[in-house]
Amino acid sequence: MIVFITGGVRSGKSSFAEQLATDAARRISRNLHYIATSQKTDQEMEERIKRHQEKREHSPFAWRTWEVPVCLEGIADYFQSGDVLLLDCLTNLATNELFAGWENGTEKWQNGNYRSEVYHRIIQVIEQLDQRGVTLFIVSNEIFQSPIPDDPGTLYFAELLGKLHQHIVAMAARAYLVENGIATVKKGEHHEGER
Amino acid sequence: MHFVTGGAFNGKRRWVEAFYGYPHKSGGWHSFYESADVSKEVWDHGIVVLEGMEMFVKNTLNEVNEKGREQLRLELKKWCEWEQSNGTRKLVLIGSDIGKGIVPIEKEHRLWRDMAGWFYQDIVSAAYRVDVIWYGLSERLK
Repeated sequence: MIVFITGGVRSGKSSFAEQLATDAARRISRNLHYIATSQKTDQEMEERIKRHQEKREHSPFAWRTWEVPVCLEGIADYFQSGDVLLLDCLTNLATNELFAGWENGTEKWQNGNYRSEVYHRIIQVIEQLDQRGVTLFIVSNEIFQSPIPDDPGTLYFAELLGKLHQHIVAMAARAYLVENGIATVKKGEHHEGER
Repeated sequence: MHFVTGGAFNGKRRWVEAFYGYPHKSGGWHSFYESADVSKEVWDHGIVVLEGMEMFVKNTLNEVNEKGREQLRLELKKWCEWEQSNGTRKLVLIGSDIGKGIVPIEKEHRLWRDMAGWFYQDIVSAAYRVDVIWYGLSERLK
């Protein structure tokens, strides 16, 4: 089952998604897996990662953390039916995949075939996890309501993320938009006992 | 007139295609991202879809700048008159929401956002139906 959670920066989407995931794990008494996607690129990012880690350490639930900045398909086989996964967040994963290689001057994102491959690879692994009976919570960002800067890199990124969101919402059992800490159900029904 | 809005890359075009069974390659479909001017032939079709209202606003601003809103209203009036002059005609306008997010520093970008916001209000008030598309899901506002 796929549950999609999106929202702006600092909207409270991660906390909301963690709550949903722990509730789900409690209901079916299964292990919780956290898929972290950030690359430690600078001090600010490290602090952000630390903040999220500490929150999970203080949580009464046992989270197992997987650091997966790229290639989610590489760990897909570790999960089985009933496992609860929280992917936080799709925006990072898509960024890391699309611009992979930029640090050594390989601008693969300029190639249309490569962009299409990234899209299909991400969709495929999500479908695979869904079919296996994993409960997968996917957190992502709302970036589409302001003028999109018209440099090609940003445009291709927005296009990729928009297409991923559309596909994921179509296959999701539930989809939420979180604004100012308040979640609105966009698709499916919010279950009793969940916040 | 039917106005379809929502964020960029949210599947607005695909939704309109499915809703009207009218592919975007059809003769009555015009995108302001492809050309600033709507060709005469477009208006020969029973359904006309004008896509990229935000781009239409930008183009108009480049031409007439601050008097833009009046100019935009005049164009909108002409489009609606086309639809009303024949009961079987159908007009669909598609526009991306560009109003949220940080206020841009550049004056022309701010003017673009403001003008798009005002124009969308004019469109909504003239529309008989308004749908907001969120990743392919529609929510009817009017």
